[in-house]
Order: sequence, then structure tokens, then C-alpha cells
Amino acid sequence: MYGFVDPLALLLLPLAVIPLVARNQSTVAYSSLAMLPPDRGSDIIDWALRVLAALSLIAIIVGIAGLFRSEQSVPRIGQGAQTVILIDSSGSMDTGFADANKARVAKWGTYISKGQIARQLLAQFAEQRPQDMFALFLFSGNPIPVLPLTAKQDVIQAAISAGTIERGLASTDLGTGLIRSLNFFEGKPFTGSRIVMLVSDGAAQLTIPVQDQIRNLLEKHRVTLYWIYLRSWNSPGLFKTIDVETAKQTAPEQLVHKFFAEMGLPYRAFSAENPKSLQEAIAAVDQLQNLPIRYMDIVPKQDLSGRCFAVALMLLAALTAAKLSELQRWH
Amino acid sequence: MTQHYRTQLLLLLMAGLALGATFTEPTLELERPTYRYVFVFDITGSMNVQDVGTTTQPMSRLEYAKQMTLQTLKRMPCGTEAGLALFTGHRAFLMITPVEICANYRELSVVLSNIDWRMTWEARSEVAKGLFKSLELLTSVAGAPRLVFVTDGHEAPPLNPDVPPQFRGEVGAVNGVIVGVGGAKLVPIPKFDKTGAPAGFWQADEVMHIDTFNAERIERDGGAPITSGTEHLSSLRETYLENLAADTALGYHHLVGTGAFEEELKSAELALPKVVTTDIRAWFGLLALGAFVASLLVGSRDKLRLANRSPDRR
Repeated sequence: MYGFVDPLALLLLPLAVIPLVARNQSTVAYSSLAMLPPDRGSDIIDWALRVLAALSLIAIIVGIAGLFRSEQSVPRIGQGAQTVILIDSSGSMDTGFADANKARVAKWGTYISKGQIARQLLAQFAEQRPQDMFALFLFSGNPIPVLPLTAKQDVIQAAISAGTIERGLASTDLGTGLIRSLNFFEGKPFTGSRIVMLVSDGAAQLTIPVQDQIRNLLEKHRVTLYWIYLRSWNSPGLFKTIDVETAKQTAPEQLVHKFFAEMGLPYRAFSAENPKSLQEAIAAVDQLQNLPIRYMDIVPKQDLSGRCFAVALMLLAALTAAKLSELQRWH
Repeated sequence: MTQHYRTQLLLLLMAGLALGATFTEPTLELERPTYRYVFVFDITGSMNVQDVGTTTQPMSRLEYAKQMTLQTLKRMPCGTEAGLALFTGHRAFLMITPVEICANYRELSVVLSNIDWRMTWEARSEVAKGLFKSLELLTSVAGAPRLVFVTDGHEAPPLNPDVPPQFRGEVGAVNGVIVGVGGAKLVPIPKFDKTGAPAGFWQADEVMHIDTFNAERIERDGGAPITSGTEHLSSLRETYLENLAADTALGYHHLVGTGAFEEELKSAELALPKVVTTDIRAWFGLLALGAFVASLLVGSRDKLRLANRSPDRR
């Protein structure tokens, strides 16, 4: 598919007939022109030069009109992990992070929320893994698929930062969110490390059937699960030992963590509080094995006017050379 | 060497130089309109009504809005930026901040086509509040993007006519347009079950026909709830949207096809004039064209004259 930036310029195309009708070769005085036999060779050369001139004009005009090729999809091969980022966008992620803010209801915009911290970390993570492909899902009540797998940092960063501007949504359904993001790999060729990077405070409960489903899907699609954990200011966190009953009430995330850890599948939790966790997470992904990833990409509009001018210039050079070899007088 | 011959050579040389100059990628800093939008799509129930598109192939309001937007974006110049957001309940939710549309076309088109009523987080459709919240949201998005709020204007539950929502932000702080989508006739709204399968249409006794405040007052007073009305039906509420647009200094556009939509999006009110590096290779191309054509014409008139005169000479 081709198009023009300024199609109006094509109105100049009739100019291309000028070389076909003009007679402006240098004349050489000759005593008796009528005596000269018709020379087919000269005629052919004459016409060839006229056609070249016409072509050159067409090339210039098409160049002025800004010929382009519209976007096309092409297969590409990438190398790196495929990471589905799954961000918890529930209301609890709007509260202050760790010990940063203890006020129960602080005015939005006057503090940094857990969600904002998480997205900052993710932005840095994605930035430092330019060879990886990322997809983005959000979950609150319903999962919201935001971004398909892509290696384009612009879009990845735009999708990550979008959620920092306003508050999150109300409810949390971690189970459905996880299942939806795992199903994302359904039917996609396995080309290397698959990661689901869950970003959540884990204020959620997973029922037994949901747990089974998550385990099965992780295994089926061979996905490594990473959890970037954001501690609420009043929570003991993932790693402080408390008994199950207390955990149920004060730190449901401990139970979620326990489930993940005991699945016997690749899983790791990173605490966002730990300043080293970003580097650790990056290093962990580095250790995973990567195969080339095949995917379809859309090549954006491609400008071809440069090529038109190049063709025109070549033809023009040939014509100028011909002009220079014209006889000005008889030797 | 004749005079003409020399002129011709000179003109050809000039054309060649002008063409050669295009390879240095000449640019000029010119003020040009640029475009940056955040499209907010109403994903509430009434947007599932199939009353737009062609008569042979009707489609839902949301689907139509998505398709028209995608096709229109395709026609916008490269450098245009688009962000996407959802509206349901009483607020907008930003999915992606504005990104350049040509380089990121695949991603944007996937994000856009994924937009679906299933993403909903609240089964209410408070259009006015959603619009006000969207305007508020956009004040925090970098680069002064224009709001394109795509909706059918169907408020559910209905507004209390005595206390309609008031816009508390600064009128005119965010520029933009309300895009109305939907048909003029009242039609039933499709209903879906928990799994997302179609489950008939909303019936008159399943929806609220008056606002929550008055409904509760009637209930408190022991009155029978109002179960009849037209709130289970939906059409594009154009007058309502036009009034909302007037209150918030936005434009209003009725979405029919891509041509008018493109024009609306490119209108002076929505453009962001910016000094941009402009490709001026075409100017050098014109110069080359002029010189080349001139070289072809030089002397040709003389020769015609000569040709005409030649019988006399003979």
C-alpha cells in the first residue's frame, strides 16, 4: 500500500510530457539537411533521452508529492524474556507505602502511594531490560488487559505511568487477574522465559479451586512467577513469622505467599522496600534462559520520496552527460 | 557553444544541485499544528446497543466508536499522540498516556480493540460526573492533551433534576470534544449474564426510572417504586451532551463516519500549534523541477519559429 503526503503535487505530472514534445537539441548548421539519410539509431537515441527526461520529471514530482509506503506487518525476531506485568489497581494500592504514611485518609496527591511506588519500580525494571518484551494487565474487580507483548519502551513506559495519575479502582480479584494473565500465553509459541510479574500488596484471598487453576496454568504455560510485594504500613510483611490465624486477619498476603512458595514451581517474591530488590529482580530474569522470540511487528509508514529524488538525480546525470556529448559544430 | 546550450547545461546543473540538496535532509523550524488526545471510551451497558453502523451491518455503539477512532487515527499525521482511557461508574481510568501513533500503531490498535464492556468496574453510568472526572484527570497528564470523550449520554441511574452534578474545575482549562455515538430512536439495551453471554434485554421493571434520591424518598414514604418509563431504552442524548459541552467549554461532535471526525480532531480548537522541524525536501524538489523544465523549454520557442520560417528561407 502506497500513498502520498501531498497528493495535490501530482497535478504537476502533465509536465512530464514536455520532453516528449519539446525540440531543444542544439542545432548544427548543415548545408543540405535533406540529403542526409534517415538515421534510425539517432532516432532511437533521441527518443530514449526524451523518455529518460520524462521519467526523471515523474520521479521528481512523485518525490515532491511525498510517496510513502503505509505500515506493514513483518515478522521479527527478538531475544529476551516475555514478561506479563500484572498490576493490582485496587483501592488498597492507593494507600501509603510501608512506613511512609500512617494517616488513615490522606489527600490523594500529597503522598506517594503503593501503586505509584510499584509503577516507579516497574518503569526502571522495564527500562533496564530493553531486549525484553512486556505486556501489561491490570486487575481490580475485572482484569483489564492494557498492552500486548511489545519491546517498544515508549508504549511500555506510557502504559506503566498511566496508572500513577489517578486513584485505582475499588475491588480486588487477584485470582481472576492471575488466571487471565496466565491465559495470555495460551496458544502462543513457547520461545523462552515467560514471566508473570505480579505487583500487589496481596490483600486478597485465593480459594482452593482458584489456587488449583493458577498452579495448573503456571505449569502448563511454563511461567515463572515473580511477586513484587508492597507492604502496607500496618502489615508485618511476607517474611515475618506469624501464625496462620493472625495472618488471616492482619496479613492475608502471607497466605498468598505461602501458597505460591509451596507450589513447587518457579516463584520468587521481591519486597519493594528493599532497595536492592530491583537489581535482584533484574538479575533473576538474567538467569532465565532465553530463546529467540518470533513475533509480528508493524513497520510504520516509510518515506520513499528520498528514493524518488535519488532516481531523478541519476537520470538527470545521464541526461546531462548526453547533453555534454552533443555536437556543437562539425569537427 | 551556443547561448542556449550553455543555459540548458546551467539549468540542468541547477536541477541536479537542488536534487542533491534533498539528500542533506533540509529542514526548517515552522509552526505547525500538532495533535495530542486522550480518548475516553464509555464502556457502560448502553454502549452495547447495536444502533449504529450500516443498516445491513449494525454494530454496537462501542464497537463503532472504536473502529471509527482507529480508522481516523490511521489518517492523522505521524507525530500525533493518542492516549486511551475508559469511563464507567463516575470516573475515567487512564490505560495509557499519549504515545506517538505511527511508531506505536500496532500497540495502540491492540489496546483500542481490546476495550470492552467486560472491563467495567462499576455498573453505573454517571456520564456528567465521568466527564468532569476526565477533565480533572487530563489536567495531570503532561503535554496538555485534548479530551475526546466518546459516549451516548445515557445516565443510569437518572439524574436528580433538582441537583444535577456541577463541574467544579476551571472551565476551559482542558480543551476537547464530546463525541456522541448512537441512534436517534429509543431501543432496548442488551443484557449479559455473569459469563458475558447475551441474556436478552433490560426490561422496564429492572432499571431505575428516577434518580436514587427521589426513589429512596418514595420508598421511605411508603410509595410504590416507579417501574415504568423509558430508562430501559436508550438513544443518543444529543441535546444533553451539547449542554454538557457548553457548560465545560468543550465541542460537540456527532460521530458519523471518519471524514467528519478527522476534520473535528484536526480543528483549530483541538490542535496544538508547535514549532516543529519540518521536512522541506519538497521545496528543493520543486526548485529542481522548475530548473529541469526550464532547461527543456530553453530555445524550443526559437526552434519552432525557425521551423515555421524555414519554408520561406527555402
